[in-house]
Parts: sequence; structure tokens; C-alpha cells
Amino acid sequence: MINPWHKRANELIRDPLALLPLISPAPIRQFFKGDATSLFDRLVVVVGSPGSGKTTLARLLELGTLMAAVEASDRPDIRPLIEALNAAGLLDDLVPTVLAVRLPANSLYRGLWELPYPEETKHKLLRSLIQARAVLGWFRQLEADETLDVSVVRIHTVDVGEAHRAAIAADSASEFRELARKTEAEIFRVLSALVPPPLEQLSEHISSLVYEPLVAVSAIEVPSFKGRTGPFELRPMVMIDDAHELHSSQFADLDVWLRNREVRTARWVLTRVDSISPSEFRRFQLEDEIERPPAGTSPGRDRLIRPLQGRKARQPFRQTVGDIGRRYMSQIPSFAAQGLNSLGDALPDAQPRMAQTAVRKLRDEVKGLGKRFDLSDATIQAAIDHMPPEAPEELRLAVARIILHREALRTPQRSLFSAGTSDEAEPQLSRKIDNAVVVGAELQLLHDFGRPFFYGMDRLADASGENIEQFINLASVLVDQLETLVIRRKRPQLEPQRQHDALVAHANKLMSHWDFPYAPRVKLLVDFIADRAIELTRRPNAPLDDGANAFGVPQSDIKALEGDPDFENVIHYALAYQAIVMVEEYKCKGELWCIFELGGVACLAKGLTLMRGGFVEGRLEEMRRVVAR
Amino acid sequence: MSRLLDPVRSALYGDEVLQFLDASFRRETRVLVIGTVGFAEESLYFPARLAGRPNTDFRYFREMRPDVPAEILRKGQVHEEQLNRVIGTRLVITPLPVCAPDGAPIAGRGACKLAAQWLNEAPYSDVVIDGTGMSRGTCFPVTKLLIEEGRRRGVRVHLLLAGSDEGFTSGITSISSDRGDWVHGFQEQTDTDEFAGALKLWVVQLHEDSRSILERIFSSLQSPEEVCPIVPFPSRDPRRGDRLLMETRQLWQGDWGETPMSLIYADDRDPTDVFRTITELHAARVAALSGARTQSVTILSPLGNRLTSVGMLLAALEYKLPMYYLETVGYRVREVETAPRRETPDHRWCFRFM
Repeated sequence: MINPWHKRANELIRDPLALLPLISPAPIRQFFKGDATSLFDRLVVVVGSPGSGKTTLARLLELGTLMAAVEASDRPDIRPLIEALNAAGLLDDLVPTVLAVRLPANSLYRGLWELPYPEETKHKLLRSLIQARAVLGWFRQLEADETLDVSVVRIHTVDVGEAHRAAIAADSASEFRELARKTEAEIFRVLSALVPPPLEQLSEHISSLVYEPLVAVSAIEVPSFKGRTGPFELRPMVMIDDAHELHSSQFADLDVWLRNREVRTARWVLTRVDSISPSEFRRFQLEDEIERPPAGTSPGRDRLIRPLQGRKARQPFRQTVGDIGRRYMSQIPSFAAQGLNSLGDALPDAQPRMAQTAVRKLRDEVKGLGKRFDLSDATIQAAIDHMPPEAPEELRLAVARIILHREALRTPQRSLFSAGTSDEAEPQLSRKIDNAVVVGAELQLLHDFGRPFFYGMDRLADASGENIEQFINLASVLVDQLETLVIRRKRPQLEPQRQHDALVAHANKLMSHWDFPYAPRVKLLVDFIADRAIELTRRPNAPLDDGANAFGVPQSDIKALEGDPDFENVIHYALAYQAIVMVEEYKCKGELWCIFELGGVACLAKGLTLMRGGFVEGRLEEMRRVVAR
Repeated sequence: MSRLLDPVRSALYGDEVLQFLDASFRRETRVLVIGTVGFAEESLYFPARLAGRPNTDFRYFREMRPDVPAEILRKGQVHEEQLNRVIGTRLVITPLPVCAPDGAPIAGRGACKLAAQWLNEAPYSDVVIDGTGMSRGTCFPVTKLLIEEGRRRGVRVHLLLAGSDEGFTSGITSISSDRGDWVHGFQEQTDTDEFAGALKLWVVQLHEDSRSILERIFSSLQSPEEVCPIVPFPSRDPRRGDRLLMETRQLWQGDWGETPMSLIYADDRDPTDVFRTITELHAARVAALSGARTQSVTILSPLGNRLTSVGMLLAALEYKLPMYYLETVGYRVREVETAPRRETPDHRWCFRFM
């Protein structure tokens, strides 16, 4: 029995039947909502950070996975997913409608760019290789149905003449496949040669640089499906995964090619946002629905861009991970035996209580503020009463501390030489208190007294940065502790302190294990931003309510990035691995800012708010100095 | 691969290497030495021994990585100056970008192109590859190219390696690229449709702090069906293997689903032991799967110690096995060794391909 919490990526789970119960239908419904046909008749670019679910989505669409889903359609844990697949048009009467193949854009494709040929030739080789592999992939997918003789499938083409059909050998499934195999083998030989042949000799190695089945093939007809007599028509589809590994020029050519409406095959490009250029990558984070049409193309008409992560609403992601938590928990028999069906049930989020000695210290401090700012006991009590009496005393006191410091700043200073007179009015405290102030008070208690802050399912979800893999990774340490409790026959619930300690320790461990290019300097940058944010968060008057988790620079500073490739690379990898998130053209105080927000793991490790928007003002030059070699 | 000499059986070690070099290169012999300016002290050892020979040309790479700390760059510069002093005008150093601006590893292709040009510069009878300071992504393709070209032209090829158990490099860890790649020239047919459904056996060397590298390669190879981690044993530090198994237990027991039955052991100072270990494994697998309809492929991933990874190179050359790796894009310096420099490296090897 596998423990899915320890499989950090769904791609590590080979068996579709093991994978399917772990896939939450919620993001599938969200992705395919509205008119799903547009996702199959034009280029769709699916954008998301590593772990956001791109590959899982692509795997779900592959025929082998769809067939496994159909076979297990009567299982209650898979039925909601079947409904989502039906709604998306991927299944029709429990028969798959698409024949999709996922092509990981691995180093092989990128390697084509290094061949010593003109750009046009290299692009032709890339297009041919992708098409050859798509055809070969379709047949491999069909072979997943052992009852099907793949040599009898029919290749339907549209709007092409006999010459084109003949050029791709579409009249015979076997020849169609064999030609793809030959095309792949020829390109592969050139690519893997220690010293590739010169351009003049290329024709001796590759029979034709032009091989275009995707322009022609509109459907693949199978006579039967899993023993059900047909015929059934499947829509061919190619999904180029990890397209960010392509050279930017290759990516641009792919974009132009696949936008062409003459391409009949459904086509998706799945990529990290950094696949085009670092500057465009940053710009892409501006909006949820991204579209920057080049001249001569129509936004939305020839390309759709679908981000898997947004910045606006957190509630859908909380719901999604709640569902994933239930699905994953149900895979572990020891939890099921204890009646523990949801991760949220094991992570209570009731306010923790601090030790009395610490509370006393805080109480004295708040009293001391009365003397310091010359406030009456009634005013102090009014500040404490901002929070309801059922709230823990330390939280009431911490909120009061912030309010009193704010009042002190707001009220004109009294004379040093007069103690004030009775007719001097006491400051009128504002009655309204924002939830963010309470969060700010909690964070101050964390830094001042070590009171736990990171507990409960919502904060766990928020720390995951809308990244399912990160959620599973963070949650896995909590699940491990729950398993220990179950083994020891104790109640499977983790108190806030235990949740907090486990998450913070794990976040620190993850950061210390960062091992991607420029990681040491990314860490320096994260430390710099965190130090500044902590200082601001801990200020007694909590000027940003819940504090900061970001560093903001004037938008105009960002131009300097482009003249410094080394610095740009550091930022690029920090963004790609979600150490930071960059938000450009953020409007604040009547100015435009570029904000470098710490990722969820860094916020956990450093004890910073998980809410968005609070930033420390600074200049880009400060960041550059920190990471300079 | 037809040959006159078995590079493993005929491998030379220690002082035998110098004796061989002295005895086999006559004065009139035209020799090409290809190496890399390295930051490890040992990278100067063989050039210093060969500098006095007439008719010897030195063509060196200066591997250019994007994220190298200043102290390592300084060390490389000092070594370059020393090489220039010792060898003089016969030394030509050519920059070799290891990564393209987008991070893609390109050293292997670039190195092969240069090595092919250098080989045409004069009628060399011997080529010496000093792999001591060379990264795997450079050394392995160049070695394969020169062996192939050497066989065609009747040029003898010698691969030299020097290494020490401790030294300047012990406080340095490498930072790997985030994209895996086949070692150039060692893709074999693994990535083609023919092998799409092949059972993959992944043989990987365990090494300190390699967890994320192992995760990345495993994922890039799309979860090989079987994994055989090579555990360093015997080793100068007898507990090293145990520590590595402990450090990586979540991977090999969890993600890879392996048991101690899959572990293989090889001496971490002896490339020939690594070669023999892989040979036994490969032979057993070929025997077990012969006659089966399913294709199978053994993929090697060299990590960590360069000396032992040469054992993988020898196996890859012998059995045409693919090699998959992550290129080093930079270094992290924890501490720099202050111990006095050793005159003679602890380990010296020579493999002959003729």
C-alpha cells in the first residue's frame, strides 16, 4: 500500500488506478468550465509553477488513464471524477473522445537548437520530431486496449489532398506509424551524433525535412473500444509538457506554428511561465487571464492561456486541498480505521493558549503603556475590549498593545512639563478592528513569545501557494505525526503547537535543501526580504496590520534588471521555484510598485503573514547588492 | 567494440602511470594533450609531468559556468597562470560554455566540436585526455569521440585521472542544473519510440547531498521500474555507505520502492570495481530478460566522485549503455581546505584505448 503523502509528485505513481482516486475533480471542473470546445480547437497554453498540477492534468487526458477511469467508473471515489470528465467532454457514454499524448519536452528537443544549422532548418526538425512522436504516442496509447488491433484503425484527414495523405501515409495505419518511426529515428541519429553532419550532408541522413500529419489528421477511428463495438472516432491531441525547457526561439516558433488554424489536431502546451523570456515571465504574473497577442494574431481566437494558479481568490484552492486531504487520507487504512477521513479534522484551529507567566508579562507591558502614554485604565481596558472576552487573553492584550501604540502616534504629544489636566480629553479609540490586525497581533506573539501561528487547514492551504504538490509536501510532515499518534493508540489530532513546530521545521529543512541553479544567492535574497519584513511586522504599532512578507520597489526600477543578466538569473530561478512571487505594476499610495513577495515556504520558515499585499518599501539596488557575487 | 587492449584489464594505477608515460612516448612521438583548467590542485599534476616532453601540444578547456563563487574563479585563474608558466606557448586554452544562457547544458557538443578540430591540427599518434579537472559532461563525450576517431585513424588514446581523498574541493559542493540531460553521445536509442515501453533499470551512484539531484533524475527518467543505487563500499570511510543509505532512505525505500536486495556495492576509489559491478548487473539482467518480448534498458547516472564515475564511462562504452546526468552550473563553498598541498595525488589512473 503506497502512502500518497510521500509521493511528492503524482507522476511518480505509474498505475492509473492508483492515481485516479487521488485526483480531485474540483480543479478539473474549474479548468474545463464554460465552453470546453475552445480547449480543443485552438492552441491552449497551460501555465503553472512546478507542482501546480500541469502534468497530472495531462496524464488524466491520456487514453490509458481515461480507460482506467471508465473501468473503475462504479467506484464511489472515482465517480465524481467521471462526472467532471463527462462535463468536460472527455468522455461520452463512458467512451473516451480524445486520443491525447503527453510529450515531455525533454532535452532531446532542446538539443535540436544546438545543431549547427540555420534556424529555419532547426525549427523544421523540431516540428517534424514533435509530429512523429505525437503519431507514435497515439498508437502506444491505443495499444493500451489489448482488444484492439491497431493496424485496422483509420486515419481521417480533412481539407488536404491525396498528395498530403500519401505524404504522411494516412491510408494505412501500419505505414502511417512506420513513417513516423522512420522520421523520429533519422532525426534522433543526427541529434545524438557526437559531431553532427554538416548542413550539406543533412539530406543524406534525413529523407525529408517536412513531415506534417498534424495539419491533416482530424480524427482516428477505432472499430471497437474495450470490446464495445463501434466505430468510435477519437479526437487526436498532443500535449507538449514542460515546454519551458525549449529554447525561447523554439518556443516562439512552436507558438506561431500551433496557433495556425490549419493545424487540425487539438494541441496544448504546458509550461512554467518562464518559457518565453524572464521579462515576459514577470509580466505574465500580472493577471489571472494572460494574453499578450503578437501583431496579426487575435487574442483568445487562436490561443488560449490558462493559468493553473491565480492570485485573487483563495477559497477555491482551500476547497480543493480540503478535497485532496480527504482523498489522500482515505488511502491510508490506519486512518480509516480510526474514522479519520479528513486532514482538516486532525488539524484543530482553535486559538492556542500561552503560558500564564508569558501572559502576565504581556499584561504588565500593556499596563506600562498606560503610564508611558498617560492613558487611563478605562482607555486601556477599552483597547483590550476590542476583542471579545472569549478570545484568549494574550490575543486581547496583543491587539490592545497595537491599538495603544497607534493611538500614541495619532495623538499629539503632551508637554513634557505638564502631566496633563483633567479637561484634556482621553483619546477616543476607534471601535473598528480589522481581522488583519488580529493576525498581526498573533504574529507579534509568535515572535515575542513563540506562540504558535501556523496551524489549521486554512493556513496550511495558504502556505501552499496554490501549488498542490507543495501542499502535499507540507502536509506530509503532519500526516507522519498523525500516523505516529495512531500507532501509539492516541487521539489523531495535532495541537496547534505541534502543527506549527512541524511545519516550521519542515519549511526550514526545505529551504536548506534548495538545490536549483543560483539557490545560495536566492536564499540570500529571501533572507534579506524576510529580515526587513520581520522588522516591519514586529513594529509595536503594526503599521501594515498583519505585517509584510514582501519587498516593493518602484516599478521604474525594474528596467535595471534587464541590463544585468546575472541578477536577472537569480530573480528568474527565485520565481521559477516559488522562493518569491513577483507582482508588477501594483498600485499603492498613488504609485506603481513591483513587489517581490516571499513564497509560502519562506513565510513559514521566517514567521511571516500568509496574507498578501504588505510590503517593505525599498529600491532594486538594495536587492542587487545582496545577491552580487 | 573490437580492440587490441582491454582498457579495464590494462588499467594502470599509481606509479605505473608515470612509468608508462615515460616509456611509451618517444621523443618523436606527436602527442596531443586535452584537459581542463580545474580548481582542484590535482588538475596540475599530469600537465606538469608531461610539460617537458617535446612534440606535445596542450589544448585545454576553460569551462565557463554561470554561478561560480569568486574564490573558485580565483583558484582557477591561479592554476591557469601556473599552466601557462609550465607549458608556455604550446598551451592553448579555449573557453567552453557549460550552459547556454537559458541553462541548457551544451558543454558536450562544444567540447566534441573543438576536440575534433584539435585532432586535425597535426598527425598525432597519441592523444592524452587528462580528465582530472574535466567535468563529466565534457570528459565523457570527448573520450568517446576520440576513441572512435582514434580507432579510425590509428591514434592511441589514453585517459588519465588523478584525485585525492581530501583537498581543496572537499569544502565545495556543486549546484546542479534543474534540467536533466543525456551525456552527449550517450543517448543510445533510449529516447526513441522503440524503447518507449522498455523496462528501465537505473543505476545511480549515491553521493552526499544528492537528494534533490536524485529526485530530479528519477522524475526526468519518468520513474524507472527498477533502481540499483551504487553504495560506496569499501570506502576510505567505512561508514560512508551506511550514512548515504540513511540520508536517502526515503527515496530508495519510498519513491523508488526498492529493498536492500537492490543495493550494489563498489569501491569508491576504484573505477574498475564500479565497472565490474555494472558488468555483473548488466549480464544478469540480459540473461534474465533474454527471450522476453519487452525491451529493457540500463541507464547509468554518474554522480559525485569523478574517479568512480569513470567506471560508469567504461561500462557505458563497453555495453553501449545510456548515461543521464545533471550538469553542474555552479558551486557552493562551505570552507576552503587549508591543509598543505600534496605533491602526489592519492590516486592516479590511466586507461588505454588502442
